[in-house]
Amino acid sequence: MATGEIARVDPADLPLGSAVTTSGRVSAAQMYQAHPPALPFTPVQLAALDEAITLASRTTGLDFSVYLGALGSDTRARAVELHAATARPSHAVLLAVSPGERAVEVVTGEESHRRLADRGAKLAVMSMVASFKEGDLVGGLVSGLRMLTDQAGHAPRT
Amino acid sequence: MTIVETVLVFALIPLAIYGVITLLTLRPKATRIARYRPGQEWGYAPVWWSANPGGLPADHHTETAPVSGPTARGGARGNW
Repeated sequence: MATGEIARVDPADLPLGSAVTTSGRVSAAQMYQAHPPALPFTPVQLAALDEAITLASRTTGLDFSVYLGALGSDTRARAVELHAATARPSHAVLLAVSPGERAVEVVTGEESHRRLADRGAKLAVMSMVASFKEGDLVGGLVSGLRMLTDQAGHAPRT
Repeated sequence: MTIVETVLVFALIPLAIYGVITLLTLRPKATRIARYRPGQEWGYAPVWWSANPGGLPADHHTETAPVSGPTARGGARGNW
């Protein structure tokens, strides 16, 4: 069949739920299939988390990121590995949370450690753990990100 | 109206309506968001969120610098 030629479809051959419209196109109906959510969070919670990460990175000039998933038996080593895999490790602040192992790790790089002392990171971790104990993962992450942002302060003007 | 009819209309029909509504609330929803409770298994695929690039200032550097060896200088950890 040549380019531009119009194919004729016999309506009798079409499967159930399909019809030929007046313009000649075939309109087909498909059964709706519900998809179970990939994470136990509501869209509102995910939006709050996205906003908190973006605001933290914009205010401080550091690269904040949140990892949520299994970290293995040595949680610190895995978190450090993930931190090294970031685009700019010296400025990266990684919050790694493993609900399975009930562990949270904050990893800072060279520049981010200068801006964000371990004491401040520990305070944020304690605040996050308090929320995680209640089962509020997103609330803990958002408040932890806000505390880390306040500790790191504004990006230096150049 | 006999006693039997009265009971049927004023007791059985409201009870049947209550029963139907109760069953409707108990049906499982495919898209229900299960709440995380501490101590339970985490059967979800790992996710890694970073800042939305559209919300960052234009001069936010994201260049990749070649690194070798450990990059971590500090941080903190906690358990619950």
